[in-house]
Amino acid sequence: MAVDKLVDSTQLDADLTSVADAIRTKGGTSASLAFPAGFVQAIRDIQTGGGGDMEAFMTRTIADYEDDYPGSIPGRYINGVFPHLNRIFLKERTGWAGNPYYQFVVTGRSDLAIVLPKVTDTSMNGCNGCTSLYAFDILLSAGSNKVPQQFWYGCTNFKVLIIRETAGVAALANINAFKNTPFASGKAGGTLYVPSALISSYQSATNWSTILGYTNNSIQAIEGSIYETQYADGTPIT
Amino acid sequence: MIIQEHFDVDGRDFIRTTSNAGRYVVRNGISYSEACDPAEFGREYTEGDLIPDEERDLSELADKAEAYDILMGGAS
Repeated sequence: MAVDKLVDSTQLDADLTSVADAIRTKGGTSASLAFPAGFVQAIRDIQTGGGGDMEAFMTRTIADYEDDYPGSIPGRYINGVFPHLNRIFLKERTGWAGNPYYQFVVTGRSDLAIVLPKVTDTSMNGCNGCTSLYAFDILLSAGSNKVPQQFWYGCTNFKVLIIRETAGVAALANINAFKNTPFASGKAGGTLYVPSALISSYQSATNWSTILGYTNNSIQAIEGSIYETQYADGTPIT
Repeated sequence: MIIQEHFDVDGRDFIRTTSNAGRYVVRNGISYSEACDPAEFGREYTEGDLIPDEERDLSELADKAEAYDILMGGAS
């Protein structure tokens, strides 16, 4: 076969890398891709419409569903395996009943951010078993049992918790809310972000003082952190 | 009746406060299903309302799940 023009190998490498990066981003993987078989297989592995259902869900207001399911976010829309999902943002909700994210497991990634900027109340075991959860960003008002027991039980990648309420501490019903998470005793640790004026209150509050007393956990002010201007999923705060 | 027991984490002494009557424990008007504090805080609690069955059942379920994990060498 005749060579009809010179090939710029540097440019070709760069072009192939950009294509591979696009495939990896879409496929939710960081694996090396051999050319061409690896590229072909990686494209085949991308699930049709991956995450699309959840994107549709997230862009609708929860009121659309509450017509059919009063008072709760229906688990049927949330529970399941979504390999490409990395954010849930429910901006319209003002309360949170039921167990909407119970055993919501996203395989293949561990960077799911759940953002609930208007939710001031939670119930029962919330994200129990959600191994993909990395960050949880919520308003959450002060008062009894605002964080119920077992709320993040078994969220083994859960490392960032942001509570934006400024009026007071959101009471933690039981330290078991953090059981089997990085926040638990002897684990790698997590970081709690709260308004700077409430840091000392959290450090001395029942149950929070115990969680924050574990060596690897830390507490930081939202002010001055990246979470002052954006939610945990990177959405700008307007 | 209020029950208090000490436990140690990272060499630090903590106290767990619970009710043996299945009630919340209360301090400063805030209810907790279980209260854990550094021992040096010296906090005291009173008994509050009964903890709902579904919440208690959930706690028992979690305890069983933990026991299963320990037996099977699973999640810690």
